Amino acid sequence: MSGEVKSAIDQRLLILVAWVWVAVPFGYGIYQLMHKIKDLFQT
Amino acid sequence: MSIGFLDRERTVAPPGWSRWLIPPAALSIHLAIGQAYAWSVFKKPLAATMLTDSHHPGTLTALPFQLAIVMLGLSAAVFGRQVESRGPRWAMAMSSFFFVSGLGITSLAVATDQYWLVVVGYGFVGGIGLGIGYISPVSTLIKWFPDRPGLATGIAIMGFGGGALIASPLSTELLQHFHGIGVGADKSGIAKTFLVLACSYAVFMAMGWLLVRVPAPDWQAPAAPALRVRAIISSKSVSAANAIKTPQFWLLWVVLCFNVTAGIGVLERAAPIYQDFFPHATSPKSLVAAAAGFVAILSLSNSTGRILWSTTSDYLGRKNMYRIYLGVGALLYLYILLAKGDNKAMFIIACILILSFYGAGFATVPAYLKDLFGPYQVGAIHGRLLTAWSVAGVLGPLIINHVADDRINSGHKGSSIYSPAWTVVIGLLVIAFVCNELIRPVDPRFHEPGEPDGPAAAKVPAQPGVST
Repeated sequence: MSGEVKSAIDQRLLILVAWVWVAVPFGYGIYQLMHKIKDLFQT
Repeated sequence: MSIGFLDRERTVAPPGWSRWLIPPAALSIHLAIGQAYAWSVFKKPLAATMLTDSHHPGTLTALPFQLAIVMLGLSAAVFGRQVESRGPRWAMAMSSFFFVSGLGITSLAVATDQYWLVVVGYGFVGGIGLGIGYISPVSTLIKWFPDRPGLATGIAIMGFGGGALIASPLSTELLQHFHGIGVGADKSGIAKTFLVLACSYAVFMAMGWLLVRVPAPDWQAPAAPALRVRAIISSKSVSAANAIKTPQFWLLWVVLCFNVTAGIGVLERAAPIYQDFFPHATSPKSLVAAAAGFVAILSLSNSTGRILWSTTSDYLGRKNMYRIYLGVGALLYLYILLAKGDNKAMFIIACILILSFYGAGFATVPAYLKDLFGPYQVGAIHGRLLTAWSVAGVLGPLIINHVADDRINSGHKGSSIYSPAWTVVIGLLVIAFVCNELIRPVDPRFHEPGEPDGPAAAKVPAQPGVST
């Protein structure tokens, strides 16, 4: 595997990890929101 | 780790570095500092444990948030040039340090029952972290995405709006876990909550300053599709020093200030407003949960409004978008004033739209500045414009909380607590609407001589529509 191809793969992996890093807590927020929307309209 | 690691020279992107690594770096900072928007979750617990003797708990519990917003605007204006010269890694690391320290000091303050230290820790120290953190990714993203300024600023500033979406449920869960909320609430539970938040955000924000890069001087953005010609868009540059001499800057300052004032009062007091409008619930716990849901849904609309409306502004134009934010916003407040919470779903929809316009006002303004003053010193001009946010950070909560405290003390209940405040807010939005109408292209005498982009600007591909 050439250095250039390896570098491209590393970069894609880095992009994936970086987006997952912010998407997981954001997803937690969305998940909690979905639960709370029910409470919001049922109280 | 030496200081050299934080230097701008160490953050220049190597060839082939993807610009799509910058948005998550920016988001890790903005999602963290956006925690400020979840402050209202702490208002009742603090009032119930630390301010039991006060006649104005609403006003007092707003102070840390107000000071944080004041410091945000001031530190963005003061540190704007340093952020440009020292680079985004330094800025993000400083932001993390001040923001996390602020949360840590707040924890100590609550544990030792010193409310003034809560104000200083969260408001002053944490607020500096908000200001430095806010401008660092905005400026960097504009450089990486010069072909789509509305989208770029929308991505950057979206995270700040989305911060409460994470912080609101997380803080509520922590407060419940540590018994810092509800019947028999304990100060130590609130202190532990702030401590856990400080540790979590320190780790989360590290990704931002480790990953961020600035584009190399010879880097070129991909060519963008042609945008429509708009009379207000200028390819000429205006320096930050000259920009503040123009009426356009001050008209936009009023527009931002009053648009923010209208939204920030609701955001800061979101949970109590919901509980006052809709006090009937199956249990106190379910009312608290519903109010937290209200905070979260406002946070979501604040966040999505930033990316949605700001990106739309690339097609409809900034001035038209502000007509919508301010004009429709005023009509929505009028509905809330007249309907008095008769229909909960409509009340929530109106608040969602208002908060989406509030967030969009922030996200669209850097692109509006770029249209008016060119890209040359748009970061520094943006930092100076954020002083409008500082004023609004005091004005908005002051109007809502002062009116609410007075009305509660004089025996009012329910939605009528807020009626005078909504009237004032409608008036402010109408004034801002008029100011937006008065904005015209900048007089050529303020333009910089020579190259419009300035010597330090990143190269931007020619866009046929972006010219005077």
